[in-house]
Amino acid sequence: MKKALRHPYILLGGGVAIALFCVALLAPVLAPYSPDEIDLDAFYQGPAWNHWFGTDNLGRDVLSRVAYGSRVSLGIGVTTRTFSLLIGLIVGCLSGYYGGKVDLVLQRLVDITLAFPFLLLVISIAVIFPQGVFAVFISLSLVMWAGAARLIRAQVMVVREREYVTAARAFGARDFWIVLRHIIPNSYAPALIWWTMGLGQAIMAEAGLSFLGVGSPEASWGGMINDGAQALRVAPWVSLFPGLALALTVLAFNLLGEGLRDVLDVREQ
Amino acid sequence: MRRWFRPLLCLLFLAASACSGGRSGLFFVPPRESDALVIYDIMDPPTLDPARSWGVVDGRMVGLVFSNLVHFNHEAKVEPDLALDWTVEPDGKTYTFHLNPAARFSNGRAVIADDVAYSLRRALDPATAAANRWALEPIESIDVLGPQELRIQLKEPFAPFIGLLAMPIAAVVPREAVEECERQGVPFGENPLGSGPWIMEEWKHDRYIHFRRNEAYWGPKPNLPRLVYRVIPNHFTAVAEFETGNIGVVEELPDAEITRWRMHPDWAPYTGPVPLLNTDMMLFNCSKPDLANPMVRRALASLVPVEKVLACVRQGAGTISGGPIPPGIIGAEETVEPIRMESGEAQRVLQDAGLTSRPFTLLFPAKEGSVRATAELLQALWKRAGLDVRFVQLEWTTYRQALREGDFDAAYRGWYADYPDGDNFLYPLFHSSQIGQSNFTFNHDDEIDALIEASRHELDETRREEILRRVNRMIFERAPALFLWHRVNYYVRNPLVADYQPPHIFNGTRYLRERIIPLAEFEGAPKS
Amino acid sequence: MTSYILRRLLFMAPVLLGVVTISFFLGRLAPGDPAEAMAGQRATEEQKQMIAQKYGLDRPLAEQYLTYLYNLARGDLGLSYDSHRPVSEIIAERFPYTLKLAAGAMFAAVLLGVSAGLLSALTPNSWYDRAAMVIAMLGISTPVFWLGLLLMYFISVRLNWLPPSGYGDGGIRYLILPAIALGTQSVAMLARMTRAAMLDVMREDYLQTARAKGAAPAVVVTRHAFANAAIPILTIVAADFASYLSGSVLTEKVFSWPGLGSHIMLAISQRDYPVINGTVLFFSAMFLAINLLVDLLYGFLDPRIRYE
Repeated sequence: MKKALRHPYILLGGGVAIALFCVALLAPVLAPYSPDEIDLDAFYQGPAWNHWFGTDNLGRDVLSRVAYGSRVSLGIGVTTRTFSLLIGLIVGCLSGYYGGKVDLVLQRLVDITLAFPFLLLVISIAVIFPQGVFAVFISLSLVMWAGAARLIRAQVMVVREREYVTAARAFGARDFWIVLRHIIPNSYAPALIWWTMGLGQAIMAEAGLSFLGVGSPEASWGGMINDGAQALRVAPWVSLFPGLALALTVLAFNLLGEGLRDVLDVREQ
Repeated sequence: MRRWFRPLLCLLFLAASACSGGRSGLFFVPPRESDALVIYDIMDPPTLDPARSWGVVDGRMVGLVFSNLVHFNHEAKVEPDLALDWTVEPDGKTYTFHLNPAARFSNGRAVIADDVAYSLRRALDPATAAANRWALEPIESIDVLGPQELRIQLKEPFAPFIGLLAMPIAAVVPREAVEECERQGVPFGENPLGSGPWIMEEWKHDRYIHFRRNEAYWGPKPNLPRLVYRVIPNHFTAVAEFETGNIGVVEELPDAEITRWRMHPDWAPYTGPVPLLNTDMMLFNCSKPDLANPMVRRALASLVPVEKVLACVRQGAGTISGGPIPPGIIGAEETVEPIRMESGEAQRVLQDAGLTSRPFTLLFPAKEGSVRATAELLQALWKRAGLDVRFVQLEWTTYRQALREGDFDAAYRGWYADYPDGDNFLYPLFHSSQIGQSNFTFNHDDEIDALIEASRHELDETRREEILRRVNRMIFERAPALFLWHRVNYYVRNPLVADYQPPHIFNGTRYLRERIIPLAEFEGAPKS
Repeated sequence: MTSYILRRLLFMAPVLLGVVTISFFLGRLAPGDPAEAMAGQRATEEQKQMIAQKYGLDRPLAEQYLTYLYNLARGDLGLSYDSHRPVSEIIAERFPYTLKLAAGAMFAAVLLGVSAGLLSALTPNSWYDRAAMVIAMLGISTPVFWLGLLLMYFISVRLNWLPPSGYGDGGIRYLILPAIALGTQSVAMLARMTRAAMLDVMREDYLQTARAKGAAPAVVVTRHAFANAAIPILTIVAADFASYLSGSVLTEKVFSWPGLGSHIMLAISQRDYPVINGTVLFFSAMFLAINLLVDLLYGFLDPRIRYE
């Protein structure tokens, strides 16, 4: 723990990440305006004292939108990552612990998901569930779980053969108990790193969907960057600030992941 | 030289050149190609087969390669094309056309009346499954009277019929070429052969189509020997291509950049407006009990300061709408009186109707540019009046389905003319027989229906205009939709591209007059 | 070895079948059908039915699925609803562009990533090392489309160094910007791998041995580090290369690159099922093939690996 707190990547990444979560939680307090408050007389105003980050095409305060956008973007990142980790955990444990036919079938499912072109799958799913943030969440989760499942399975297969597990099994402990007691605690490190490192990927994927017109209808960073990108020459601030926020976030989580990898001493598979 | 010096120099240079925004005087890159006009659109046309054409992009390309009996000029007026002249019997149902004997397909064969009949019948054949088949459906029969004479009989009088014949679906194709393609199992749409001013030379999908001047063209030939159509899916990218001289004219400036070019002291002379035959509106779903009441719809409309919205989302590029029919065609409103209500009154009406106590769905298609901004703005405006506006953004085909199924309270709709007549903005959009097909207001109004029908059958131009004007105003007042604006696009051309004629209707130009001036002859030679 | 390859190929069949099945039914689940997309703005119900009939969309779903599989087994991917051209022809025509972009991106990524990693490893844990790593990470932290637009604006419009977009005459000038925009995604991983491999080697004994023998340390380090890093780098290159092939949609759209990615977006919005299914199948097959190839390469690079 001490080692962790001294690692520069963890300090930096973790600090920024915590700050970001604070911004997301405290958005209503921090944001000077409501994110949807339009001002038809003040569109495309450059950064100034009353609007630090300027205003967008509808005269909305970019700073407030960036603050509120963190809720959507971080929300999508955290929920997708957690949900796909959960699925991956279940599938990975079943697959790795029982092996045999269960493993064979589940692994084909993983193979199929991994072989399916990532972006195309996400786009198709986002088109099918056209109800905004939820669609983005579902589509990303349905794609991302496979990576987690493969990771967890590998861990489980290693742990399963360890002496204390074989011993527990010999004593007649229930499978569920063994998994809960021995296997999950032993695979938390790679899972944590997987969760952290991929958070940015999820946020980024949402941005990509926005660019293709199937992203979240609520103001996410990706959506704001895309809307603003068309005005890049006229009002660069509209896409610049959400772009920086997004870059900072992804960078922070990646640094955090790197740091954790160092500290927890997990090797690349 | 010291080791650190060179990178530093590079960096400085980079910064300086990247920041030097304040150049004075006109700065432009001459067109890369001196014998070709380069234009672009955001997608690859799906086909150049007239019968199968359904979109704007393919429609424009079809117009270059093929000829119709008549075609639109850039101001969307009907002009003779293959037909030298035509007569209409007093019953309004019988059209007789005389073809230009000089007309030739680009393979040298003369265009005869049989070709016209074949082409129209082919488009009407159910097996072709033509998307725009409706355009030819008024036709009862087609009779060839001689090699250069043709009669078209309508099912009933239809005043704007002649305009339908200028649509891409009515383009004339040579039978032998179509059948040859069928025999070889290749789509005719990939190997188009027509009697138009241009010949398709090379088509690299998703990259470009090269057209070469039809040297044997029987009409006035294009000035330029070549025309290049490029596929650029992103507007920002297209402007970058224009700035680097790779595109001769940006025919539709992206919304965000209109002011930047229009108001630029050096560029303003090279920009210009393109008034489109278009109406952007927000439909109300009149099948909802509360929205069935015109007062409620008027109240919703009165909450929207259209002029300000236009200034915001399209930088003022449009004309405020006084009804479905856009200016420039028969039946349009001349003076626009926006729907107004006392402040507080609108809110009270909405409250009494119970509209503030239920969710209100606002549907719009996921498209770039002003559409989303408009929807967001209206959401904000209606929210202020106490409505619980839910925002539904759908991908295009899904949006179409939602419209058809009436799965909305208000829905964004943009409509562009297929033929330049008020009828094109009334019958499909507001006649109750078209409900669920192209009329998504779900509004049954017998008075409006009767007037629209009368206008279709009326052959006297003055009386017809009067009817159209009346029904146009009636629709505006009863507000089955909130009429926003008629778009005006802005083009910007390379200063060396001369005589560009922007089309008001999508297939209204064949790029005949455009020229490229040699740099030496250019008056305000660039200061670069 | 041969039996290993055969077994791997055998395993591919169910995976590809699964991919086709998902792709097929995903398409049918989506609201809006091809008839809706193709029938135009004023289509009647009757007309839509006509279109549905023409493409066999009015048949029971199971029948359509089996027909598709039957045709697939005969090597027929069908005709595009939109352009009436064979899907295989569409893929064959556009795939080379996508491949070229992916290869260019990979080249850019390896170039940037490996050099960043090498530089970092020279002075481990210095601020210089950290900064190089953070900069390398910026690539995965910026949305591709935004980075692409920025590059285009500054490099092409302002500086006029490179053409803004398109495939042009196929020259390398047209490839540089899109390749950089796409390739930055992998730079961070590659940099980290290279750095780790370098550090491993520098700690080890043969450096001392080599030094004792009088070899120049830089040469030794580099040679051993690359031997050491080859496998992890290859893994990343392979995985990312496969994802570039199907994931270049955004880059292609920004840079008007005429690849498969930009075409499939149109196909999805048109509900052009044969094109969607065919492309998905093709990408998946490519993915599996690349993986197999990489596994075989491992054996070549590291004789300790055996194929069972």
